[in-house]
Amino acid sequence: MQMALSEEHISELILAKNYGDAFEGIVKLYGERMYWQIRRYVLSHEDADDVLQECWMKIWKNLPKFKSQSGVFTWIYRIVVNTSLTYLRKQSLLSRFAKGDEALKSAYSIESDVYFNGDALQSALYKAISKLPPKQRMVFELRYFEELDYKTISALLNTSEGALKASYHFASEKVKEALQKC
Amino acid sequence: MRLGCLIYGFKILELKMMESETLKNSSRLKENPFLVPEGYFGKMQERALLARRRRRIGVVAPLLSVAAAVAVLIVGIWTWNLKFDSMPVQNLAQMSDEEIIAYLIYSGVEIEEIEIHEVEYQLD
Repeated sequence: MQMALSEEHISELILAKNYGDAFEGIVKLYGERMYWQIRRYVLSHEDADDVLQECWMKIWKNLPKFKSQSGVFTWIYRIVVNTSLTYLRKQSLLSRFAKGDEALKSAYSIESDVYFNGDALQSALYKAISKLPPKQRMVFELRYFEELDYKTISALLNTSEGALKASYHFASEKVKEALQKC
Repeated sequence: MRLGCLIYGFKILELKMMESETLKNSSRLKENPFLVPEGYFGKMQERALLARRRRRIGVVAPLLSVAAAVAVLIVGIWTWNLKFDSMPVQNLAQMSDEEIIAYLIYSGVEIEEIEIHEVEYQLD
């Protein structure tokens, strides 16, 4: 079985314009990690798979534009976060404009998800997170789960640190409130 | 009485601390509760390679709509040619995607029926 390439090696492949091998290296080295990140953002496996496929397309398309300063994973991370955020915004718009039962039909339900194996507390957590506005949800994900500092999140989301802190504060208050009812 | 108030006070404080620590310290909340279909990661490489191959930018319309639209176009132009004997009949292959889309929309095909797929040919 072929060993996964290192980040450094992948970077060298990209700079040498060996995009095919670089892409395969990225998939092997980061694919699973990317999936789980996306999955936590979008919750459903089908949606996570869709977003992941879109990320592959964007990575492939933008490999020639990769600059080595940021590091391969940071570059990929930005693609994952922004693609997921775009997806969440579209979902939010769809559910806002879907009327009546259509809104209920289109909404993801964690209780009926066969690929969710969490307990009541985790279910309450993800339900609470899923009700947050898209960007607030992303801020919460990056701060709470991924434990990124505000400076990093600011660079990823192109938002001021002050706004992020406020966003996280509101998000965590809403989540805590939901958990207390559990 | 004082002891009772003290104990009650500590309980409230404990509750408040628990509440504020619920998110911070609960390792259970940060555990991954999600599952994937069997074999999903095993096929990841193959699917990623498929995802990067895109079709050529173009229009995919219901075949009947295209055939009908083109037929109308050809018949219309042929009829017009009979009358005015001026406009050349365009070969479908020579029509650009934009021209086809414009004609379909002009003919009343709903935009939602026209699927536009972003496309790039990628060579390994």
